[in-house]
Amino acid sequence: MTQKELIKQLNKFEMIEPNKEFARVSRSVILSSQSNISVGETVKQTIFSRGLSFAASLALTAVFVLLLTLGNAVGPLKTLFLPTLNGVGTENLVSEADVVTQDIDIRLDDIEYFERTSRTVALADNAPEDLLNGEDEIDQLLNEVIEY
Amino acid sequence: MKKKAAITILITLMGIIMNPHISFAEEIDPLLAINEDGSLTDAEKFEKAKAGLEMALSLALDKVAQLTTDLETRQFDEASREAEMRGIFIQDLNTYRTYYSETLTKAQILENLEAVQALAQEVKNYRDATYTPGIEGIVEFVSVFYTEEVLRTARERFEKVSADIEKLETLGLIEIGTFNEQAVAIETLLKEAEDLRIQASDIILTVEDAATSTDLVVEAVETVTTTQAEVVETPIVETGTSTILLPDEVTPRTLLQTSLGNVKGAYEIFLEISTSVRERLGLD
Repeated sequence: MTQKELIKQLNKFEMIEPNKEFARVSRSVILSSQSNISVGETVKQTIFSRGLSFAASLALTAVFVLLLTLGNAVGPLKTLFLPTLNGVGTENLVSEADVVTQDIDIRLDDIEYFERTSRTVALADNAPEDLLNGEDEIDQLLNEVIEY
Repeated sequence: MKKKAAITILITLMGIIMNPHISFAEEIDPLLAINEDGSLTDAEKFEKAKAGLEMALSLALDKVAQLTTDLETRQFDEASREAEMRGIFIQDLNTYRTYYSETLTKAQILENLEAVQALAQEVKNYRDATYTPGIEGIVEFVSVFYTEEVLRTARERFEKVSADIEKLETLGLIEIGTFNEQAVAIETLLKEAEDLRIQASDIILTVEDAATSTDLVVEAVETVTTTQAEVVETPIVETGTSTILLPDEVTPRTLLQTSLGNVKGAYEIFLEISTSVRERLGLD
């Protein structure tokens, strides 16, 4: 047989087709032979894996949405990763500074009362009400009554 | 609608109650310039003047009570000079309380404006001649111990702030030495505040010994003038039972004022550090 005849003969095989049932069974056999799993189980696994990938997609989407939502909360979340700052922590420090400063101002006002040797003059000039405190307020009241 | 109106009224009433500057009884408003209102009848003038005098005496009693409590709550060793002085001061305060209390009783039964004014003048004279000079020593005495307390609070805060800075430096969140300048400034302020407080305390507690007091004042002057570079004169000042030489502008009062001013300054720097740390950590 010459080469030409051989090619002609092979071309005839193109016309050969397996029947449909043989093709289906062969395909299943090939697929199941890879992991020694029956055809039925293979079909089940395919359905399961598709379901699993769908669940995974949902989960990833949910995580993505969650991250977007928490985007603005990144700043506050940072504090979770920082050490506890008892000294420079804003709230405690600010409230303590307010209390201390106000308290010192009251004490200084008490002390300064005694150096206001010209306080009678100052009071006669109608000092603003909010500057009067404690002893000054008493002096102011007495002056008003006397000058009535 | 009714509910909204009720809430609005409630909030308004709460605002009035919480505001110390709003008086419920207009006729006893202590700071109203009563003598400027020419439309008042004689009876109204009398009522207002009487209410003003009664309020002045009530406030004076409150002040005495506040100082008494301040003294009584402090713990001193029984045999200490502090305890001795506290005993004397509490006796003085009892005398002032008795005077104000009895005068308030008298004021409540007065029947005309002239009598109210005469009593107000008497109270004013008493305050100028007796109460104010007497209370000055008490306020200084109390202030020495208040300054000690507030300095302790400031030092505790400084320790916490220093620990935080060290922690952040160790973690590499801020550069080492970023707040060195502020830390040194705070340390200096608090150290000076403590020195001045001790000097004020020594002067107050040893005021009976004129010679010792003068030495202490000279020492205090040296400390203050190193920072303030002021020219100091030496006028004579009466202090209780004795007369000592006090350089101008250097008294327990001025020492305590500077000391307390330093503590306020330290807190300003604490707040600056706190703001700066938050900015550097991206927390603002």
